[in-house]
Amino acid sequence: MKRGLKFLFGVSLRLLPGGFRRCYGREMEDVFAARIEEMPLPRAFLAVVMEMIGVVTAAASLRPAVAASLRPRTLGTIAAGCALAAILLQAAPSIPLPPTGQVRDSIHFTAHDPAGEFSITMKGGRTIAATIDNVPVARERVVQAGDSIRFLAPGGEIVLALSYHAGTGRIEWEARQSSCRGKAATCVMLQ
Amino acid sequence: MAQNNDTLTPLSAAILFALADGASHGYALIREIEALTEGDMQPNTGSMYLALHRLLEEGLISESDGPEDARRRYYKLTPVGREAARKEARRLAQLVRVASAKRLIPRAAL
Repeated sequence: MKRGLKFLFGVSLRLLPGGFRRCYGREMEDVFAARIEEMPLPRAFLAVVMEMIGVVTAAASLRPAVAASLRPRTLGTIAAGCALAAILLQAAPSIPLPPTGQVRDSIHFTAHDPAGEFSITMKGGRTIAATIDNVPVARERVVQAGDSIRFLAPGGEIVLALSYHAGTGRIEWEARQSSCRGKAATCVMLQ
Repeated sequence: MAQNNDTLTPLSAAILFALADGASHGYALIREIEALTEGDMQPNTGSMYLALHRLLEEGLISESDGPEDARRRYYKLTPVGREAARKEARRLAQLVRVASAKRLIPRAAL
């Protein structure tokens, strides 16, 4: 399957001007192959779409009249490749999206940002447990008002703010800074 | 990829910063930029090679003999590129100071 993705990427390189392609094409194919080798298949499908968009953008930048000079067959192949990758991506069962675990009315989210990992467990729309860097957060330091949830430092300052959307079953939060890594339970957000 | 006002695109600046430690090839540069920016910047192959091509044209980087893998093309900073990287770093640092003074980023992040 990955061979097919490499073929699609190779086809998209035809959009690039000949000189550029001769200079960098082989190397670009090697880089693309190395990148998708590390990826599980569903991510590789997404990657090929993003990579092909990148090639089209590069080609348009290098050759503004690129669209006019394209052979319809090349464009058709690329469009079909993007469509196929998108369909396969939709069908892929293992792309991790929150919530990461759901049992009856309990939902457990585990998420990462530059400051590290946190988790939250909700039941009936209420927060019943939370962790920062795998360390449980005391219940009195998790404050919920409607869909807004705040994790507090011992001094009462906010260290993590997130919202829970019951309709979609998703959470959103303001990413914490990498400088909070290792001390995320006490690293205060800018207010 | 210098602009009219001599500033660099974020990707071009990231490439110059990544090359400050020594020569590197395209794939390693992509990985290093992803690591340096903690995943905020994930350049695709097309944009990476377009940026490398333009930096070569502008004389900010040059090709180099590969220390590890002869099949791969390595890139290194030229003296002009190193100066451009320093200038861009100073410009960004100045912007960060302004943003910090206006409390747009926490001081703890600096």
